[in-house]
Parts: sequence; structure tokens; C-alpha cells
Amino acid sequence: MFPYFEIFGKVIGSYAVASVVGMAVCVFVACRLGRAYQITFEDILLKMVYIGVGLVIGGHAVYGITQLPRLWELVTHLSDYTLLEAGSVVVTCFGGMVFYGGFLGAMAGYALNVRKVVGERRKVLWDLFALVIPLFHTFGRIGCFLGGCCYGKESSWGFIVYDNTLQPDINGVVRIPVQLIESACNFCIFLFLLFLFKKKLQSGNLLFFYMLIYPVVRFVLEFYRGDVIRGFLWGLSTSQWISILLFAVALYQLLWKRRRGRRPLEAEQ
Amino acid sequence: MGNDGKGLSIAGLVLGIVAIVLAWFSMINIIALIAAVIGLVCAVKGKQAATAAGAPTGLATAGLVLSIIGLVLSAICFLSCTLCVLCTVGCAGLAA
Repeated sequence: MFPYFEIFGKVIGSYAVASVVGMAVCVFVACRLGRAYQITFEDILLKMVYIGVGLVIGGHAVYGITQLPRLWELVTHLSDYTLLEAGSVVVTCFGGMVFYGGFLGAMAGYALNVRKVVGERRKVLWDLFALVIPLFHTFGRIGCFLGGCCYGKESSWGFIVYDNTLQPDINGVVRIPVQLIESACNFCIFLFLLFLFKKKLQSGNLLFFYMLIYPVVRFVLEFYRGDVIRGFLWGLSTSQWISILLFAVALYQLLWKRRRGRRPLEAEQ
Repeated sequence: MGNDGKGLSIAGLVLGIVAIVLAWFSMINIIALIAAVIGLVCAVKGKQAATAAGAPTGLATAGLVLSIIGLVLSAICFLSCTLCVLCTVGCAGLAA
């Protein structure tokens, strides 16, 4: 839509600005919420570094996995490619990012950072992680909308994508603004989790609640996305398969925790 | 010898400055991004060590601020320029 704008002759990408603004808002919100638990600004910054590194590595790695056929083709016919062509294929195969890969990578990075923290503080830290993910995603999807990627299917209503230089064939068609819908859904998830956090309800479980709600939203919205580059298996996209997996893991964890919480009471009776 | 985090704070400051300078150059701003991230970690650790030792934290704070500015600039420039150039090269290579 508006992929670039110029400041003092320098071209600035809208997606980049949306991402950085999202990160800044996440740091601000995490600092405000963490203050009551003696979590400092420096703590938050360090955790954001771990999250950021995990997010970038995970997002690109899972995107690369969705491009395995192309990579396999490169490996098996390496002699047919020039060095530039082979480099181009590798860059293209790992150039994109998949949200779920980023999420899992961020979670791994965060787990590495908080591995020595125990008790109530650990629960609060994981709850803060659950809060910042949908908040950052809200801004990320606005960036997608402005950048013209992750667009929706052709429709009689919606927005016209233009100025997409990487995929010019998607320009000039009215499409469902699926990025903005997902952004709004993410913001609603954030508000719901914030409500639970403020009321100290389900402490330590907010990440599993996020993993219950977001995959349902993503599973449905995936049907309205117009891009087919993320790979399909038995009629479902990679993201839909990961949605199912995450939903099942979250449901199992919540039920297991609930059962474990009840056991001492049953023993007393 | 007491650890007041001075070495880490100086490293954070230097890497922050390096990040701010390199962020403006296309294709090499990924170095700026990495420098800013390492600088941020050094500055945070330096500040924590200085606070624990009761030493002044001015140097660490300066490193922290410069690293944050470097991180913001390099992230914007990297996501705006370098990634797009790489993707375009990738697409051109595939088309070829």
C-alpha cells in the first residue's frame, strides 16, 4: 500500500518503522507492568534482545523449511547453477519470515534468558512474554498492510494493493484486508490477556491462553489469505498445521496443570 | 580487583557509536545491527555491575542510550534497504 516514504532523501520502509514502533511500545508496556514486580528497564531490554534474536532466527528458519522442495532441488542439481543463482535461491528461500517460526524462536530465546528465574517472578515474566507477543504482532500486521505483503484473497470489498515491486501481479486487485483484521484480533487478544494479568487471574498460564486463542484466529484467517507461498499439506497451510499443534499443546498443558492443582485437595479428602 | 563493569560500559559505548555510524550504509548495516545488539547487552551488564558495586553508572547509561539509538536506526535501515535489496537480487536471480 505505502511500502516506502522518504525522509531527507533517505528511503524508509513502512514495515521497518511499524516493527520498531511495535518493539518500543512492547518495551514501554512491559516496563510499566513489570515495575510492580521489581522488573527493571534493563531487564526488559535484555529480554527483548533474546526475544529479537530468537524471533529472527526462528522466523527465517521455518520459512526455509516451507521452501524445502526448492532447497532440495538446489542441492540435487547444484552443478546446474552458477554461484549467483545458487546464492539467489538460498536468499529467497530464507528471505521471508513465518510468524509461528518467529514465535517459537522468541519463546526459545526467552526460555534461555529466564531459565534461572524461579517462583512467582518466573510466572510474571512468562505472563509478560504472553502479553507482548500479540501487542508486537498488532504493529507487525499493520506493517504488512503498509508494505503490501500477507494480503488477502480477491474480494468485492476491501483494499487495492499497489506498488508491490516484489510481486507486481498482485497489484490493482481489490482484496480482503486480512492483515488489518488480524491486527485488530491481536489487539483484542492483548486486551483480554492484560485484563487477566491486571486481575491476577490465571497467573503463569497466560502464554497457554494466548496459544489457545491466537491459533483459532490464525486458522480461520488463513483461509482468507491470497498467498500460496507458505506451503500446503492436505489442504491446510503450514501455519494451520502449527496452529493445530500449538492449540493441542496449550490445551494439554492447561488441563494437566488443573489436574495437578486438584490432586493435593483430593489427597486431603 | 573489584568488578565495577567499566570495561563492559566502555564496550557498550563504543559499539553504540559504531552502530550509529554504520547504520546509514546500505548492505553493511547488518554489522551495525549486530554491534548495536552486542553493545546493548554490554551496556546493560555494565550498568548492573556498576550498580551492584556502587560505582558511577554514567558511562553505562551513555552506552545504553547510544546502543538503543544505534539499534533503532540500524533496524529501520536494515529492514528498509538491505533486506529489500537481497530479496530483489533473489527474485532477479530466480527469474534469470
